[in-house]
Amino acid sequence: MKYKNIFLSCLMAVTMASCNDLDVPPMNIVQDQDVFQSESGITAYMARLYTELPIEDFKFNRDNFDQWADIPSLSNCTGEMLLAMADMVWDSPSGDWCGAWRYGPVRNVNYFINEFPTYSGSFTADQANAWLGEAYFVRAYCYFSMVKRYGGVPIIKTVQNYPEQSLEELKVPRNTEQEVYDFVAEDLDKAIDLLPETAIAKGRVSKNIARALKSRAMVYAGSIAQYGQLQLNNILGIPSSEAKRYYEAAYEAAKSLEGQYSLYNKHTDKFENYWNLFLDEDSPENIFCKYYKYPEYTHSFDVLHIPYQMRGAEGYSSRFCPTLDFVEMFDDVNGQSDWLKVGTVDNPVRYSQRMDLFKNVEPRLRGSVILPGDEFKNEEIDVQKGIYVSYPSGELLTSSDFNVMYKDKSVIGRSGMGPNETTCTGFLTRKYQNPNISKSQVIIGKETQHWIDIRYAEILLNRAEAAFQIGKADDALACINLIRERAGAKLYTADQLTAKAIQKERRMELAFENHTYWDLRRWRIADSEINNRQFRALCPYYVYDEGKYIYKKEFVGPKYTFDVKVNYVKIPTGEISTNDKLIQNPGY
Amino acid sequence: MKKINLLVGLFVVALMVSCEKLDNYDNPKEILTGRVIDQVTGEALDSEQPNGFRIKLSEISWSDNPQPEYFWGKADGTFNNTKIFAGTYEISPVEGAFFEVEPQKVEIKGEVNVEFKVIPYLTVTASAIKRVDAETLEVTYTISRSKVGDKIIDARVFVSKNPNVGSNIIDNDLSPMRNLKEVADGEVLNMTFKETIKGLESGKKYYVRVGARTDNASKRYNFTKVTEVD
Repeated sequence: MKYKNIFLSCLMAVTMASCNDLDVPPMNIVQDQDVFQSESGITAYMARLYTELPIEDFKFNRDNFDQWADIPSLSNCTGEMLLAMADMVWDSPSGDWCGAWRYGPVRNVNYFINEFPTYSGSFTADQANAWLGEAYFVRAYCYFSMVKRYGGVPIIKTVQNYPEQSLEELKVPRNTEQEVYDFVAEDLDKAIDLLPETAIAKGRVSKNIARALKSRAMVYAGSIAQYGQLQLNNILGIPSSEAKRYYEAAYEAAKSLEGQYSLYNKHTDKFENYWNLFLDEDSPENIFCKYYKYPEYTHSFDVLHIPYQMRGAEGYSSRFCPTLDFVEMFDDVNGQSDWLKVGTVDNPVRYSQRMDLFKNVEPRLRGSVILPGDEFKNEEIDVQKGIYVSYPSGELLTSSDFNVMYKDKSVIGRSGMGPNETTCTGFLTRKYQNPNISKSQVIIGKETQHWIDIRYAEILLNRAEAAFQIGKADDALACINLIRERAGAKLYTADQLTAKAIQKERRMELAFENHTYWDLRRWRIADSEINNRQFRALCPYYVYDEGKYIYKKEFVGPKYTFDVKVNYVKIPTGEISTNDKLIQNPGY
Repeated sequence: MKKINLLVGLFVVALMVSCEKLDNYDNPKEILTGRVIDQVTGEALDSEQPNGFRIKLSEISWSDNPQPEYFWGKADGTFNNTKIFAGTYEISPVEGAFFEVEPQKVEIKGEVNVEFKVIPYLTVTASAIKRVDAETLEVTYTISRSKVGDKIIDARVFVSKNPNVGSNIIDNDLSPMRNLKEVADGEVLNMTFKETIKGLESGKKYYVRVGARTDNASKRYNFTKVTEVD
């Protein structure tokens, strides 16, 4: 018995001893010190933060980021363009399109800002500052993309932990819209302070990029203060007395970039120049770009936008069609607004070439839009809605089949209009389309042209908009005329410059770049612009007996109404069910 | 093959079995009806559907701070919901063309009727709507208000062949709009607006109403009643 006891206690002593050292970090999980103590670890961490940046690029659509952009994108929600006839939809009565509830990425940034300083001793101060600067930039970018959608959102600056914190503590209510904009400005100021003059690598951010984003965020805040209304105890809207402060901040940030960047002016032909601005990676106008690389990270922009006659093997084409309403915003090179001379229905103007109608077209418009009969990839883009045997008394022939001929002439040309996946408005997009890829390369997941998230023209427009509101009209005029000069448009005189004209300039210059949707909302004009409105097409017809073309302006698609409640996106209901302190935006 | 079908059949049947258990909670079946009454006229407030006004229900039987539920009111100013769980609710009409009102605390059990007296943002009076000939319509109207609110931004005659005419259903070409953003409110309230609308199809029946709106957050119109013109 005694021996047994001794034996047992010995056994216990031996087994207990092994409990000593079990508290080691799990070997199969990468630890903070592995990541935050080496440059490569931090680069990998940063890669994730950058990937999660809510950049509204080629792959952003109404549902989410990084999508196959075949369904409505922001430009389809503004009347800038329509989706091809067959599946043309627009309207968001549900109000939950285009959302971006980005607290996942925010948490990743917060974690970095929280934990990294412990390890910063392993690096030089410059290195450590640059990384922290990037983190603040990313956080500002995320919050800005949330506040422009939802209005005030909860500001979370630290990492939340469960179960260390109670559920009640984790439920953070919404801050006011003003607080969030101020928080964005505060983070960007920190980023400007910490970031290097030149970015660590292509595609990463620098001081100037943070300044550029600040000018954008502040001009948004200024316009919301000026045009918006206070709702839900200031969770939405900014007091109008704050407008001046924000405009001044926007102006200052934009002005600080003067001399650092310039408008792209490499080509003498203004049309060639404007078009190439979006394709030339080495442009002094690019401030912040998102780059793609085959095969790791690609998009499919051309597949969806290419004219029917040169589409690739997988189909699609012509899905996004600029409207006549958009085209009519532009004046011609002489500043005339009624330059689209199509004549009357009884006596339309006859043109021997389709492009004759566009003789005086503003180069910027032609650089953004492929016009009917325009040249692209050394081919005439053969857009034709039908043939009149004679006009006005002859028969009108249309078809949904490209093989149908009238005598020696194809009824709908080589690019339609009519069949599925041909233009429904007569126009196609040129901006961002790559003219240098062969037909065999126009396939899904093959394209790599870069997306310009911030370019200097936008900074000039931010500056003009802000300057005009704080009594610096001369400065605003100078900025707008720089842009109009490059665009090949007639310069404005001082008395032509109004707040409306500045807004219009922004819509024309930044068309299809996912700006207009937010602009119409923050100017609070989306509901009056798109009120029971049907958009229009410009349809070319061939008059056979005369051998000439005529044009008709026609309504296309259903009528659209922008519901004012959509000025603020619906807070995801799933988020409200987990955090009952979140108040839903009005109207939902 | 037959065996597989049989097995699949059995499997499906087995799955179905689990569906048997019944929800032990009764269907929502209490009824809430009521009207939103225009204090100026004493009648139900004319609006439109959709986008007229909503009824906000917050059930306070369980929580002081519940997530509200909403349902749409009707164009004639009434509302009716026959699928409500019994309980105590705070009820208020929201997002309509009227000033905010105090919510009413009501226990909903059986059929409950609630009335709200509201002050409309504007009152539009059409003194004359007449079809002078087959193709022409003349409309005369004025705008007034009993309480000062946001800036008056526009007024419009809404014309359509659909009796549910309003800002949703409208014939754009026949519905002239007056932009009043740049006109002082005092002036607007003293003006008599006259619209002559040409281009009606002869022999067709049209429905007409006039609306005006302030720069309220939901951009709602205050309307007159719908008038039928032959």
